[in-house]
Amino acid sequence: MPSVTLHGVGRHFGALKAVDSVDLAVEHGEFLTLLGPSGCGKTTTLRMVAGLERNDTGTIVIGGRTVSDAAADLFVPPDRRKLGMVFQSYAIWPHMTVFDNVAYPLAVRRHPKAEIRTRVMAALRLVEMEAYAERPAPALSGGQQQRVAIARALVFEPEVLLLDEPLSNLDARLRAQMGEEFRALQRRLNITTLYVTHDQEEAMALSDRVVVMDKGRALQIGAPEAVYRRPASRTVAAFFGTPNFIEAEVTACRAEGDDYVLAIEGAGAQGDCRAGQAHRPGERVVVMIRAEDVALGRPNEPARAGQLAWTGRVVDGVFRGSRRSLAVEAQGRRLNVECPATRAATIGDTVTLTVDADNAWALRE
Amino acid sequence: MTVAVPLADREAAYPRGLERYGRPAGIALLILGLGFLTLYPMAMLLYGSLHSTPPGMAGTFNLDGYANLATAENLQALVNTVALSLVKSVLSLALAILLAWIVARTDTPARGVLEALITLPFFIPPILTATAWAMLGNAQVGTINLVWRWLTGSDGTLVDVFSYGGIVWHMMQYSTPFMFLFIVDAFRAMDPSLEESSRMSGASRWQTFWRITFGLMLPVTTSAFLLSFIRGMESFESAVFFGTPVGIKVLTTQIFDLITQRAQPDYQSATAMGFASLALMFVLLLVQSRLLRGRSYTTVTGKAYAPSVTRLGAMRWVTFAICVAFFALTVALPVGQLLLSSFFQFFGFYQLDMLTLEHYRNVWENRQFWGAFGNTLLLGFVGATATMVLGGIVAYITTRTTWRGRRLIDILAWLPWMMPGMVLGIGFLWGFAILPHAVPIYGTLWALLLAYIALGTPVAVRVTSGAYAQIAKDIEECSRVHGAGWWQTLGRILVALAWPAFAVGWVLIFFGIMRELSASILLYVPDTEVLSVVMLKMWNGGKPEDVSVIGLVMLAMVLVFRWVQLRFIKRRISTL
Amino acid sequence: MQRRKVLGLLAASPAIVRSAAAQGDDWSKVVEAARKEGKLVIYTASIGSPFHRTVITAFEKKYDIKVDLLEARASEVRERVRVEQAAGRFLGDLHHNGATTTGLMQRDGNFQPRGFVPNVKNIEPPYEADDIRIPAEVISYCLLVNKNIVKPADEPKSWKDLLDPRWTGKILSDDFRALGGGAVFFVVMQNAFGREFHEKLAAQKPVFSRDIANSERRTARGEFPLYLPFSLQNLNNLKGLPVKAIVPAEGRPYIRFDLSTLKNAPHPNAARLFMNHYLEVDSQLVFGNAGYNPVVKGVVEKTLPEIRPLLATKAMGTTDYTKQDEMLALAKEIYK
Repeated sequence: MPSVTLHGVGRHFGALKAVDSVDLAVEHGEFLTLLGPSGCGKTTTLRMVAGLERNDTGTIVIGGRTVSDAAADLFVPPDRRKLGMVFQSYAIWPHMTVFDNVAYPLAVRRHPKAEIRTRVMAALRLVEMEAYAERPAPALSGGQQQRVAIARALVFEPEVLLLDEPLSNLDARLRAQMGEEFRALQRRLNITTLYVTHDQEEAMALSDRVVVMDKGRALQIGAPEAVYRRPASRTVAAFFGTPNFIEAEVTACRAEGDDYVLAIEGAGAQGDCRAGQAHRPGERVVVMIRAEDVALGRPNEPARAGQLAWTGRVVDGVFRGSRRSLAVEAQGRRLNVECPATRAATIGDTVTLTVDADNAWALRE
Repeated sequence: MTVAVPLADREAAYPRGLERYGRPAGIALLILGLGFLTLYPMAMLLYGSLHSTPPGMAGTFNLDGYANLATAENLQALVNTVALSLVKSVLSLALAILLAWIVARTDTPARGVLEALITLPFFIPPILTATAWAMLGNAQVGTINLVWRWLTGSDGTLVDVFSYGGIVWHMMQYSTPFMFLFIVDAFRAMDPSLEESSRMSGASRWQTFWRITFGLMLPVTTSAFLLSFIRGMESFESAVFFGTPVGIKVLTTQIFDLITQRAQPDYQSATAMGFASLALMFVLLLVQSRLLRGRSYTTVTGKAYAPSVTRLGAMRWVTFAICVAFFALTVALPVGQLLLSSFFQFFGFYQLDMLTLEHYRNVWENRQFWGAFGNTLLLGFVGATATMVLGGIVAYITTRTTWRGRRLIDILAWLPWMMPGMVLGIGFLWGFAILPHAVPIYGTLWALLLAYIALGTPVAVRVTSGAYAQIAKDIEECSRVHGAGWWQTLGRILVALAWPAFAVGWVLIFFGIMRELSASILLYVPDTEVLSVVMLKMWNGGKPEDVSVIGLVMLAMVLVFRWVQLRFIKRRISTL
Repeated sequence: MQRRKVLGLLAASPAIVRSAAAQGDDWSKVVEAARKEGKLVIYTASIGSPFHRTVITAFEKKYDIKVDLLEARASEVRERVRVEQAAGRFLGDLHHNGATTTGLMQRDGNFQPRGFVPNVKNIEPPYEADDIRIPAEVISYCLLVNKNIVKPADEPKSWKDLLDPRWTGKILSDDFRALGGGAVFFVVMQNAFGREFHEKLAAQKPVFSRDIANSERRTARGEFPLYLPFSLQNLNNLKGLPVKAIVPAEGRPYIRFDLSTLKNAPHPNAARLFMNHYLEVDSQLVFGNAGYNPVVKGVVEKTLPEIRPLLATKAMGTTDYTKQDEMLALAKEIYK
């Protein structure tokens, strides 16, 4: 049984649909991330699950219990939804100690004192903050506050854990470290987690599945790799990195496994690519090629059968430490190429670009 | 992990009716309660202003009350009132901000003690400071003028409190500490990064203060200013003491004359004048809400911060001197005069053979005083607490929710502040007296308690909403998500975070109750005498010296209250 | 408590009123009925008067009737009585207020006939009772001078001496344009000397105040040499201060305080008994010694020697409520 189910959930502000009929099922123990640019409705969706905002349409079911049904005018307030939540600002109550902050979800539910003590200390141990229990909350660093916020969200062993951009206020190194720690903790506790972020790398590194949202709609739901490599639309594709889009015409189409292999022609190249659905010959498609999937060859290196190939000239290059980003001009178009930093490329060099059929993904225009 | 319970069971555990009707019912109840406290007496007054006779007498409906207002004398009184109140509010605000900044944000020595002392003048009964200032600052033999003449050898007059300036000065002694109390905690709760980022953007300290610190405090400062301005327009004591003798008329003295200076008290014109001034103040309120609309004033966030303290260096002795000077002028001088006088048989006669403890003995042995003192303490404690509870809820609904009906609640809670006390007292008298006799309000302590709650609610709402406005939404939502209900969140998070403001509001209201006379004298009965009434009796009975003893007792109480309160605030600050 | 009072009143009082009236002058039955009522509620505009309290305590002791006293300023007492009666709450028995307010309230029908009161026969002219009210005590107005500033030779002997240029700017006065002593003084002077007197007095630039207690002390401190009109009964509060009360040759303006029975009084017999008690020589002597003029014969002679000469002066006149508004307007016109 899914842990959280959203069915047709929407939130409207006048004519503006901040969230437009989102359907979602989060499995028990799953780490699901809502990903999208700011204003895409991801935070509003999370807040509707939390009960901090009322959904204008649809139903929300948490742990088998309908907590909100707009049509039936049913709305369970946030405090009765048995959730844990980490806010972007951490929302650590400045007038309490660390212990009191973490004990709060238990204290307001009137758990016995002794039980609170053991559970709070256990939660603090999980985040390695037990030494700070008696500290006043505002005397903590950002990372420490983050840990306290997580401990507080976990202490009640909630059905679902909600996190609203929890890492965005941390520096890059701490962000990575906290992310990993948190993911390990989540796996260990096997707690259903709904996570909101605008950071694609964070989303891919942490999630079991990612929901890409834009303009209030869920564009695609899937495992990070599937969403990355096999996006459902150009918008989804464009959200991760700087992919190349090539307009082309389908010349042939055949099924292979669950996919289709298309023969295409366009942008001065011929070759194969993959697609999620069948296309008729003559149809126009957009082919997405990830910058890191473009192989950089010596000038006039011959292409293998089925490969897309161009000859072009390096016009720009940026050294990024672990890799190098190049811009190559071929057939009057600019292609982004990511290559190992060790690959020397000087501006003005002539190069051959090749792309395997498995790395080219056709989208409808 | 939570054990999954079958769907049907869970549905049953959360009755839908409560979800759906609980809040609207609560809001309706609140509106009804507030309506009874504020709208009901106002409705009685409105009737009075539109009817040729007060409630309970035969008469006709007409607009004579309003038509009578249009006289040159009333216009002059209106101009005087607005001008006096505006001048004193501006001066007081500037002074209060300066003092609040010194106390909350600089390293001025003895800030803790200064904070308690600066607020003292507010709590001295106005009749006593007026008496003291009349002794100090009259043109003929006022102590200040005598000293001035002795020092300079001239026979000129340095100050004359029986003048516009005297009225402003006397009102300022109340409005400055009032505003100070209002804004000092807002200064303390300011996230310093907001100011630091201004400094980093190239703003000077002064620009930062003006554009950021002051700007962020707009809800608090404009609230304080507005409350003070309105109170100034309704102020009676200062004008009647220092203005009437030299022919300076204000609205309240005009209203007083309409009621007391006619063979047939003209309640119609008096209440009409009350409503005219209410309309004026309502416009001001609208301007304020326009001013503040659509801006965020959140300064308390979940992030860590410690209030930053400006190091003033040698300048800190200047700021220290400013505070001490304020204290000396507004407290030490008049209270010193009172304290000294309380040991002599008569005010202002300092001869050894007149030294006496008689006044203290009189008060000590006065059974009436102790009875009234007990009643007033009871009313003060219950009233201030109930008012803060009500105000805390109203402020929450009006500032932090988008619930239907919140505008109405806001307006209802404001009403009592906009009607001069002496008129509103009549509204309570009329309203409570005509209730069915089975409702045991008229002639009991309830009448006083309800009137006090109504009178105190505007302050409670302003104080708490100013504090709420500074608390980030996250802080509150986080509590809801983690299992706290609405009430629990209000109590454990909002009130707990805003409690310095609650404490200030409580003290303001408590001592407001101790002082309230206009409504008290119309509502008390022999068993329910209150302090202000007994003080009036002593005053009229020719015992101003005894009254000053009571005033000193009240001052001592204030000192204890403030000391305890500040100690607690300090403890909290030290944990930040 | 309150409710019981009201219920009891509604059930019983009309019967008592009728029976008391029927008994006529059988005074002992009134006393008995009053004792049975056991309680008396007085509304008074005489705030904080210790003498009032003395007389009440004596009454409580003598008849074992508990007295509740509600004190408020004249207009406040009046409005409370009015609104309570309009709302059908008959809580008060006796009303004690200045003659002007009492007269206005009598016109408004706030009272009921007092019935026979034996001591009324002792009332001394010009004070008089009617079938509603009896005079209670009299406030006499005179001059207060600062002895340190005003030498005995310079003391005003006549009210007209106030017009002497030496007092220009030196007179502190209760506001003539406000109800109270000032207005009474204005009316009496207007009746005695006409408008000319006031115009000349206005030219003397008197300083007006409405805070009587302070005014007296301001005079004592020497801020002003003269204060008027000084309520004679306040002399007691000023004992030991360098001030002196003077009653000029023409006599003293006065204002009478009246007692009257409120409509549907719950304890009408106690009210009647108290009226009689108030007119006893002993009660009146309390007021006499305090500086009020007594209203019954044979009391002034028994007062303390230091106060007796001031009381044994001519009653110059008092105010008339029917002309109140007219007189206030005139005062405002003359004293700008």
